[in-house]
Amino acid sequence: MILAHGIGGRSDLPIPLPVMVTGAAAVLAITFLALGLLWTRPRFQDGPRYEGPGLPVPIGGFLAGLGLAGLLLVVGQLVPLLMGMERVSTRATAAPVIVWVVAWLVIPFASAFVGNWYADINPWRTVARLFGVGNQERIGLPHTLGLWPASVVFIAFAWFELVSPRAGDPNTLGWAALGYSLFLLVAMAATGRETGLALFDFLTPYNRLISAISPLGRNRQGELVWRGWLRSLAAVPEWPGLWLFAVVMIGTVSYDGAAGTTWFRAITGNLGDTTIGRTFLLLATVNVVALAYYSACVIASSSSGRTWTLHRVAQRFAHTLVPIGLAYAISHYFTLIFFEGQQLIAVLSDPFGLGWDLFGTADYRVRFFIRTSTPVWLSQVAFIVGGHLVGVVLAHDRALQDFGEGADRSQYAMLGLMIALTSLALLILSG
Amino acid sequence: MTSRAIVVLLSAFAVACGPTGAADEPTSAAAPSTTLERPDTTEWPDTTTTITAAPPEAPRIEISNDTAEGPDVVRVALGETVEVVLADVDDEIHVHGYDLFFELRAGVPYQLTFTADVPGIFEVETHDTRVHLFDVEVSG
Repeated sequence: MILAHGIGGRSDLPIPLPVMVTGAAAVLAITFLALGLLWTRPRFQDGPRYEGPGLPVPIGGFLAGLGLAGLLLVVGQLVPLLMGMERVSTRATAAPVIVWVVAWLVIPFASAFVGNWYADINPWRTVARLFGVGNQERIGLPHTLGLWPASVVFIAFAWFELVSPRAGDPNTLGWAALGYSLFLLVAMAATGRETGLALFDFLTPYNRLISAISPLGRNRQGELVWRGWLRSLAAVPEWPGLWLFAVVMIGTVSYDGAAGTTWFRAITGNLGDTTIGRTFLLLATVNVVALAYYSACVIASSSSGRTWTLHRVAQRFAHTLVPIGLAYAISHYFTLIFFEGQQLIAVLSDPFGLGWDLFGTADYRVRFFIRTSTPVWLSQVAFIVGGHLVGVVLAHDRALQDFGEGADRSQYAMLGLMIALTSLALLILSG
Repeated sequence: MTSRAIVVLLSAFAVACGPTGAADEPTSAAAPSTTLERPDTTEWPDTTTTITAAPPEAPRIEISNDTAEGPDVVRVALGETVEVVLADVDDEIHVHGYDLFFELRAGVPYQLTFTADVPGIFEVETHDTRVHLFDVEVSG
């Protein structure tokens, strides 16, 4: 049994049955209370409200510098490789922490609270600006490609972390970062800087979607303002493939969680032993989530009394999956951020694993400051239940907006889907 | 907390011992043992390494070049002993999370102890060949 993981090697203990049952009961209670008590007119559907004094954000240049430094530390792993320098075998390098903890988890999760700071951090925008790549926007957005290319890149990235056995290898990460950089530079040169990032840099829509949960946003002057909670998520532009991107968010982290459970291993047998088998399981999990979502859309549209196409319903409710996907990811990865994130302290002293000690911290060891599992379990269930609650609220509001009289009946399907997704999350957590 | 210790007994069965059949003999009794110091760190107060004989009913994991035969998960209760039989590998064993490295040589048996004071599921793998051997599940 070979387990692939970009980083870590520690995972949380399964949540005990009583905690799981409590979580499930809370989910059911929330869902049915929502049906009876929630408002009867849409509340979040008329776009963000920009309120409060605008706060200038002067640290954009600083964030861009950090982003660029991060990219250089990952691509820079190729320098010792190409110069034939020997790495110290027991030293970690900066690449896995930067890619799998900072870029993949910390930046997007923080976006849900501080707004889309990735727009400032994005190192590829900075590089393109420095070299004048893609100054002319050549394609109007939204393009028919929409979020399809970003969804494919998202799956490829998840494959690299969860399936490929080389995700922790600094040289592989260096090559991958170099390849991705060239890919984005070509895309930006061909389509324009902002267009290229919006269409092909999966981190751009990923952070944009998650940041739409945040009550903080930017006004037209680029100042930080309150914009009314949940209003921005309901106003997310329905680019082609939005539903797929949201499904991929949930499907990839579901695969990661499920692959570690005994019931998933019992179902899938020895498929998980080979790279091809794990690739199949990753794609299958995404497909199962897509199928579940589309089934809910079929029922919702047929019971709403409207003659909308299935695809239109799928697009209209896609944003309600975002908080659920985020809750999945946070509950699955937050201890990893706390623990493995500390590796940053060590690797900054020796980013290439060459035995350096720039800041005297190279021998720092991870402190496991959470010595008992109960707070971890309770937080995990709280995230899952919270994500479910937000999803239910958004779906209810969207059903009122779109279906009016038919909202009551049509939202049963979406609520059923959300109970199913949340149950799956709890089932994964319980091992 | 010293009582909550995982004892990983790594004893090699020597391929080099040849046709005498020595490889089939019970290894715990006669095998030479090596005491390894845990790395000095401030956050690990229990740094004593002790040698414990593995009881005969302990789970056994045989390691060869690219496979590990034995249970996938070793669940650790109070003072439970895990016996790992190393077949023919020159490598380091890496206990993730605890970040312990144990040097192994084919034909040389080891008994290793570390205190399981952090809950979670920890991967144990060979360092160079990156073979996942088993998980240690520390409840608590």
